[in-house]
Amino acid sequence: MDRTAIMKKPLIYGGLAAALLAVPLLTNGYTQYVVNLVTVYVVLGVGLNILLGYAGQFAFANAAFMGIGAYITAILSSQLGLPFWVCIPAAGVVTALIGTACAVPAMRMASIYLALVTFAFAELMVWVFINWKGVTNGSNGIGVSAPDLFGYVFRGDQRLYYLLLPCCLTMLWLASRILKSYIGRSFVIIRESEIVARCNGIDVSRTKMIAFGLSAFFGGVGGALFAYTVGLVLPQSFGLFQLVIHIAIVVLGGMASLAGAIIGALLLTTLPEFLRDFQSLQEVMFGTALVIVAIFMPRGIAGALTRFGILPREMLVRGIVRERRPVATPGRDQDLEPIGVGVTHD
Amino acid sequence: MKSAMRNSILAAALLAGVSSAALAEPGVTDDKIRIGTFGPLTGPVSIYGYPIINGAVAVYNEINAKGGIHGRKIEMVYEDDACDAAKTRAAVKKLVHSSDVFAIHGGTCSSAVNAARDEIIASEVPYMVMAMVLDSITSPVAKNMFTTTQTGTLDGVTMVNFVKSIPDVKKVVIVKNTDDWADSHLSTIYPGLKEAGIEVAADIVLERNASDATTQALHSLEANADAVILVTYPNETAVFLREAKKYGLKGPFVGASSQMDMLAVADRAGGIDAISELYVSSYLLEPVDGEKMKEFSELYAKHFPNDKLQTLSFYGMSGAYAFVDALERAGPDLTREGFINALESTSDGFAGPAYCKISFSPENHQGCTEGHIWAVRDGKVVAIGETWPQ
Repeated sequence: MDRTAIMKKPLIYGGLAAALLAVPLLTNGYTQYVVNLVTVYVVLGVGLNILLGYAGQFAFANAAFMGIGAYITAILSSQLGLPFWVCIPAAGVVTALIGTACAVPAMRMASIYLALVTFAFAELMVWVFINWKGVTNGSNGIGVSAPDLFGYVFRGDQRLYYLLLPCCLTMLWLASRILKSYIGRSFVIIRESEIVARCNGIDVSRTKMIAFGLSAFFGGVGGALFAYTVGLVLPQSFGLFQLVIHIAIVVLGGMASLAGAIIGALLLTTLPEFLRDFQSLQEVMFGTALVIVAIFMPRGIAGALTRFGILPREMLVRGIVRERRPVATPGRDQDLEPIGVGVTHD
Repeated sequence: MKSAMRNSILAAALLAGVSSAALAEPGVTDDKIRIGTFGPLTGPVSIYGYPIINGAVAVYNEINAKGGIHGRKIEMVYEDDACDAAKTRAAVKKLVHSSDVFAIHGGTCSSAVNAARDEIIASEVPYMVMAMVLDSITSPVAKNMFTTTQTGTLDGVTMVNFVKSIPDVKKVVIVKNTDDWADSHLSTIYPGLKEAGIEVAADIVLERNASDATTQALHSLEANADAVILVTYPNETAVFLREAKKYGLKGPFVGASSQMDMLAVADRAGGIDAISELYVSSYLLEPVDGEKMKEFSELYAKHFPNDKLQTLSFYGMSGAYAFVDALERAGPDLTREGFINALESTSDGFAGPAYCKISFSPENHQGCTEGHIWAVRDGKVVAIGETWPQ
């Protein structure tokens, strides 16, 4: 790496950090609330992307995971008075355990059957949220008190942003580290070919369970952040419509791309707000956008931006496979090619 | 010297600007008062959006047509909440922080608005409920939140009082949905029945969007009760009454105000016969085609000639009349504080098509508390009073 590049990197990151920290100075209560929702949906988008985009599992329980995380946070914070730094990780861990448990029956199915089973699980959870009144308070929901840290209460959208932003960045960093690890690469190989994965010594069932657990962890943390943002956890918030938003974030933003989750969350959260005055247009525009993306940008907006060189390629293995190479000769290189296809997303 | 004078003039001008800005009330100009509204304008429950909001807007439009209030015309700002908690918070925040409204008259979905309650209270913007029934919206009393809509608990009181007036009722069956709306009704129905010594022979759940109620109808039949209380939404009521007719379950059936559009329930239940023993709680004066509703039906049709007239069309009118009355009494120097004081001093105010007189006080922001019963007579829905007809 040359000297200019080494100097440039901290400058870019520093500038970005300053810009992110300065956001509340430029917003009012409404726009800050929308920004806060973006941070929440980035975490949720990353969670679904791990399972759907990277591991290739057609599982649609993300809204349920989000709901579980939100309810755990609401119960722990409002009813037991626990601080946010206990509630948020607890929401993630408990949801991850539930997600992993869900994966056990789901492992016996694939594609559309898996989608149906996970969708049924999501609907079942909404039913539980409504009817387990002793715990969830039924349709009345549970209010969530503002989080506080050593007496500093994150009340109001501007203050809450300084809690949501570090959480969101931490989750992005965590996702990036996981996806660049052996586990992350295993997800991609399983998505491309389970046979190839087995041939490479990957325990497919175990890896899928990890993908479920991780996705649920992100969903749970996203749910916890959602609970603090909205302030009231209601069963209706985690139904089919919520799931559609999550899927749209991943599909529009870009499958198997962290940048895609960010772009998708940004678009799906802010566009409906910009289009508030053109309500009849909203549904038409989203429908059209989904069709266009499905036909012309199968890897979503992030994939298209990467193709045009606007976004850098997301590499799960730095330095091993930079370019797709034509397989010239049979032998060792030929064996590497499927792995290479799997780890670059262009 | 010259520069000192210039600085003084600048400072004075600046101070004058600052003080006039401080005095200016958000959403109020010399010729306009901006009122925000929100509701499910899109999505699967949008039936509770424009049809309800337009009733209130018809009242405001009529006031504008007559010259406005103290020379100011009412300007409406619409926001969609899709009956979703997160979107409702966004809608309220946008009205308060970006649209700069003077007051808000909106909200038709209880749970969603509950999520924005703290935001409304913190904003101190005067707020009138459009058509929600959840008690927790206005209880405990918040300085800036008012309602003229019959809450679930009060609706439950109307229902249970009617049941108590039915001769020789010893035991009843309760068929209910399971949500906050049903719970608020049941919170007064159960104690009311207990107090009157009426036994609940069966307490049966009917899930939302159920397309079959055979089990519930047979269970009710087996309980051999003297009356059936239906704390259900219109669709589930129709499904239950259809099965009740099929299996020979007799009424009287006492329903919640959600079933006020009785003919629509009849259509779905298989005809007018299916609702011949249905008695429904109502907080409106009369059904849509009633004589007392003519004035309000014509008002709605005048401003929204292409809309279908239905009971929903009148839900928001009483709140609009309360707002207009308070705006008049708050005087030409309109402030939020003065407006809230005017609202709180409303006594026996005009409620338009609602079956009540509106009264608020600093301790009570629930403007309407009375309800009565509708039933079918000679194929027509009519108001029959508050107790069992003699």
